[in-house]
Amino acid sequence: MKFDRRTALHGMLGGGAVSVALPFLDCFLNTNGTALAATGAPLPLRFGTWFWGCGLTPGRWIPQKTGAAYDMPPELKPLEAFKDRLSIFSGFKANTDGKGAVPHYTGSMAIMTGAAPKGQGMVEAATFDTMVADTIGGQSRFRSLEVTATGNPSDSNSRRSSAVINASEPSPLAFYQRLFGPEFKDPNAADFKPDPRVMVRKSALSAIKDQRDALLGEVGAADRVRLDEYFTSIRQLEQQLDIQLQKPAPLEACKVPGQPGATKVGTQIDDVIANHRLLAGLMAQALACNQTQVFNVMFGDATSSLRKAGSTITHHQLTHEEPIDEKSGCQPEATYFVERIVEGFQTMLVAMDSVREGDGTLLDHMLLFAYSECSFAKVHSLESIPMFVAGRANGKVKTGLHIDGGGDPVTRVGLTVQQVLGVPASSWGAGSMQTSKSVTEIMV
Amino acid sequence: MARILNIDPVRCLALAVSAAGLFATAASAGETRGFAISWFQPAYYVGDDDCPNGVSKEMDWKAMFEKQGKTPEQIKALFEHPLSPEFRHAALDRGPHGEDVCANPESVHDTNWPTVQGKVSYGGNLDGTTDGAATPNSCAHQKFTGVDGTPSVDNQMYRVMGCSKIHRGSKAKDGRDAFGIEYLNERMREGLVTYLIEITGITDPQNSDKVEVGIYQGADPLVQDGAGGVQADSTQHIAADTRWQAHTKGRIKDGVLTTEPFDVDLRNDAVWLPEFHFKHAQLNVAFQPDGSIKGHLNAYQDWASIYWGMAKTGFLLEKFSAGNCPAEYAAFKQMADGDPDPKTGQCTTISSSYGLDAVPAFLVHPPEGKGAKTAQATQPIKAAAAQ
Amino acid sequence: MKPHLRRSLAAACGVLTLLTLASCGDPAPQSSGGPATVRRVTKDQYVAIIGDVFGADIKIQGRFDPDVRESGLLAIGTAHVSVTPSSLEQYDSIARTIAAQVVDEHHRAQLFPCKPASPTAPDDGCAGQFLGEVGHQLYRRPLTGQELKAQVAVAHEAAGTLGSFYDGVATSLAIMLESPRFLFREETAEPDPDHPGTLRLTAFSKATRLSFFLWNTTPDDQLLAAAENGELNTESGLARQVDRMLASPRLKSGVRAFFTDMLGFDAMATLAKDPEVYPKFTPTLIGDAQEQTLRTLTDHLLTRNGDYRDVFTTRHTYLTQLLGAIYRVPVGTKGGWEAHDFPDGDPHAGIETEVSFLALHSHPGRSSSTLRGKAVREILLCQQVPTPPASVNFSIVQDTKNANLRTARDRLTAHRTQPTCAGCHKIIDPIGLSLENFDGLGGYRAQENGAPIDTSGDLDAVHFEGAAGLGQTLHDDPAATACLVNRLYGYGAGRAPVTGEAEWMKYLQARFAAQGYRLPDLMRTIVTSDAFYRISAPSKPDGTTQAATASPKEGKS
Repeated sequence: MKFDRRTALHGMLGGGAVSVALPFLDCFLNTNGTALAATGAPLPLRFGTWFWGCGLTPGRWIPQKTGAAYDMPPELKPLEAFKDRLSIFSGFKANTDGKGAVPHYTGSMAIMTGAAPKGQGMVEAATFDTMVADTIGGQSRFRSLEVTATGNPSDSNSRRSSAVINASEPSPLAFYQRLFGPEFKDPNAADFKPDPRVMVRKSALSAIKDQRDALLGEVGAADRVRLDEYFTSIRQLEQQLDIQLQKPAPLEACKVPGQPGATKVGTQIDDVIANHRLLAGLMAQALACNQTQVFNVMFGDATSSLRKAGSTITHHQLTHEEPIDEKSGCQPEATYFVERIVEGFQTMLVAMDSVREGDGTLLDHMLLFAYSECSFAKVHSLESIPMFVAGRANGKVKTGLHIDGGGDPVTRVGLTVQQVLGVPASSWGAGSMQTSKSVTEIMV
Repeated sequence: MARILNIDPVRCLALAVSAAGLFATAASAGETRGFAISWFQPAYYVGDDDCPNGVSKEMDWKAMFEKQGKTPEQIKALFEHPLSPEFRHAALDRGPHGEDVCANPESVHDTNWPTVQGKVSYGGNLDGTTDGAATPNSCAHQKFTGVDGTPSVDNQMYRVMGCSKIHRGSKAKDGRDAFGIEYLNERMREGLVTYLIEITGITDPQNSDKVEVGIYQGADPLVQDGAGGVQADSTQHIAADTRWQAHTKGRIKDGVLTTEPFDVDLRNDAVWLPEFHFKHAQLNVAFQPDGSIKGHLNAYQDWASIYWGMAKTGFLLEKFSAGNCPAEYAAFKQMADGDPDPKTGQCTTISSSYGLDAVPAFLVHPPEGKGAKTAQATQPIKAAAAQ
Repeated sequence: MKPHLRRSLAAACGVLTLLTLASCGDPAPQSSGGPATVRRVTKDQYVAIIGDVFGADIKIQGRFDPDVRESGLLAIGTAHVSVTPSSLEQYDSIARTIAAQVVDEHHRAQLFPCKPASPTAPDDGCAGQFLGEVGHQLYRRPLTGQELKAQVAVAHEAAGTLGSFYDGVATSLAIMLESPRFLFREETAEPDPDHPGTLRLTAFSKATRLSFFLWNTTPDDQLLAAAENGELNTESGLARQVDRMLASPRLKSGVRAFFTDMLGFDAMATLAKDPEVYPKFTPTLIGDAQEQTLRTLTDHLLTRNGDYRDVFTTRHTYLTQLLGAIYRVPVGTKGGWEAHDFPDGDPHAGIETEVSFLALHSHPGRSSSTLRGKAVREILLCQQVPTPPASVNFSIVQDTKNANLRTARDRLTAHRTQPTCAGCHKIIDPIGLSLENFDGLGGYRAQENGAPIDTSGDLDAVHFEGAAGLGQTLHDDPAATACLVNRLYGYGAGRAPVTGEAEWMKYLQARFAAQGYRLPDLMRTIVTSDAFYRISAPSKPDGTTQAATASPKEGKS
């Protein structure tokens, strides 16, 4: 009889509770393989993205000084308390290399995929969060988690290909149930018994895996890629079940939150703010409980449909139609939304910073990349698209700097972020945005 | 039913005709507009001087029990179960022979009820006088000045109820947020009852000399819209039972509709007031730019049924609504100003004003002759003969 | 000659030419066919299949990933999407809840053809019988011997571990429900003996295409049997099944599913309107609006077997009380639907004047001529509207002195006067401007902000007045009927037509015209044709064609 893991587990489960020490997750060990998280060794590195549509107001967000000790311009004021853990990137642009700039789309895809897309809905490569997830996301229950405060699951920038988009969860209640519902294994629970039903499910997946070769042999090349994606998903499901069968390492910072109530979801700004706050809090706990190490958050959709109750106009429409007030130099109604957006980012930072973990907070153990899809929405400008990096990334990144890209492509920032997170990439991007020039100022 | 008021004979004749229901409901030249009422509650003005001694307060039960000679232990035991029958009896059975004072409001003499002392009120001139002096059809009473400056306003019900704790709202909300008022209107919006108005013969929405107005009970619940109000332009069926309908004539001048007096009974909520009995009612509503109407229904109401509606809740009124059965009864009796009883002279109706908002609606009349019936009217409980 | 007349003449000439091509007796032109597709089942199909196989009372709880629209249809997007980890999680969870219900005491009595020897131990015989039958329906073909063996093994092992026959079967059934054989409709091809050197879909793939096209669900037992015994490969056998399916009430589900896709109703679920600007907006209303248009269409196209072009002009529709409040007409029926005819000359004429179109293609707080014009072009006429150019610079168009432009037409002045904008906007805005009497929810208004609304419009060379004028223009535009044919074919095939099918598509359009633009006839023409099942040989990377890939042995051990 073939002795494999399955039979070994089966045998062990035949009796009562498992007392065999199943292997702890590697990421909780230091290089010597002896220290564990609870004893103060470095905690897993997390990566998140935070997106909003329609950029910021030129002249009101770029600090005058570069380097450390930069000034906080008016639109960034809500982030003042986090200045020392926040780096600002201005002056980086997205090049279209002759392809038409798709409004509210080319900018974000240039930043996340390294290349200008050919058209709406298309991408030339996977977004780099998936690459980070592939690198560091394999040890947690979910490879990555996507949420949106806009109410629409299609609002997501996380894609492996034009047709494979990781849908976002818009409902805090549903998000909670996915994270902390019946399938959640509390790492701090005193007792642990591997569930025979989980073992059975994991074992049964082999019947699907066995279909792979036959199926892939029957279809054409393009369909092979799609079906391979399906089997990759099967492997991840298997991995999730695997993790559920192992006693999770205790995590001091993990405190299972209470279930939120049902909320109204949609693009009305009060709903967006309320849902975002709940989703941010849940995401922080998901990270603290090691449910994932990679996450993507949408505050507003790319064509910012954010609106005020009783108003006939959205943020996006205002950016195009509202005249610029001569005195303040901004579009007042549109700026209302910009302020809420930056406050939203502050809420996210607070949520992450509120979880004490080891010798610091969750924010110290992550790199949070915030970006938009254009700089000045009124004219769909792709020059100087706002990008921020927040968090200390376990000491792997220098913080509190304002970097002026001087017209360099946005891919320099994406490349740098990937390198900090351990993605093996010496260069990244396509066409005139291909680069190997990391932003060394923030690298340790 | 014809009632002669002490006013000029021409108007008197018109009233007699309308009261007898002789005018035609056949389609006349002109437009028809239907409405579903979205707000219908007493309009109690909130000024600064109305209730100098504050609003009504829940009775001091402890003091009352002490006065009744109960021991401290007995009182303590009662308060441990304030919703028990024991507490209820101890509280309400305070007549000289142990009568429940809500059921027997004249068994005790209690005037401890705050009435409105202010000079301003919503309403219309219902008795036709300028000074409120007694007439063959009305009892002497004080008049108000209207909120919009209209002189000689009759609203004795406001005088009685305006300082009731659950009926006095905030100035900012024009009194509409009083608990007893908002709560009942919400029930209406949720489908408890539906009231409909139909105006026919409109030749000019700003000025039409002769229109006909129908006031109807609706058969369908109101439909709520996405903003918490009543849905405009919905279709509403008129209830077949003619007992709950009335017709009158009116005119529209400068966008304001006024009508000849009419009587109408309407079914209402079972807890507080099962039926409205409006007498000599006049509608006074203005057309709004969005097509809705907003104004008042000014009318006399049979006050005994109002009292009995509240009193039969007994405990609910006195313990939870800061009411006082015998004192409120006495106030109604004293302030009543319409339809004197021919034998005793005691006025049996009380002047009032109801705020009325209505949104446009399509009204469907019941099929002719089919199913239309007149139900036996619920007789108002007659007060005990004047004592 | 007036542009309007010139256009009608051109259209008539075009139709005449096509008609001569399509006169009775002329065989259909050859078609190259296109590649075989592998299509993921949609949420609606998934729900329909479970209902058909296990009964309508099985509850399906979970989230389905959104479908992706390509070439104008979600149905075409199904051939390009895959299954992401988070969507597989959902499929897995949904599959387990379905399987648990199927084996519970209440359902097993109806659904199991056998009883196990012992309920607490494996029983391969009974498990195999159940899984084989169910698998036949779920995989849309009989399981191979190997597949059945594997599923029985799963049931056996699980039953042993969990101590329950039924839990064992449920585990195996859940696996089948998340298997790619169920989630993906994989088309397979074989050499066509009637046309040597060409490929056609295998019988089971034919049955699958037929069933999803006409009924939007998995093939039923009769259709599967017709595939198995070779009937579907004969002209008469195919016609028999087609007749049966077209005569069935289930055709309505299929037609509804088609128009739900073509008209973009998937966006209704996330449609946002501001309740203060549009208090009549509620989710129930939006559901009613979608249903109204589907009823208008099925009543006209199926029940009355009407001319497709009249869907743009018809004043006959169905309303609920909530819809009556939007259109401001009385609707006496409580809690249900009643037929309603708008009077002659009323601007409510055609599906483009119904709430489902007007509200969907507007902003949350206002109408949008640009969105509506774009929707008419892309959805109803199958015309691509280019994306804004790379260098669009809005700063040159903002007239800072004129912040308050009262009507939409006024506000869109820049769209039509600035050269960089006008190029595209002049083909979009004038269409939508004719619909400006309808606000962002679809309610009629004569004025906007106190100013009267000018509803003259243009569609290419044709000038018209108001919504009714737009409807008549769409009725007369050959692009509208060509678009329907194109979309219907794409919906059935799971891909846009390829160059080698161009002649056949022209033939199809001519047939559609010759038959009076009747939808059931068009569907019959498609599904009884050779072309619909023709598969083009796939080419190898070096440019040469390879022989048809061997299809798996179906139904044999």
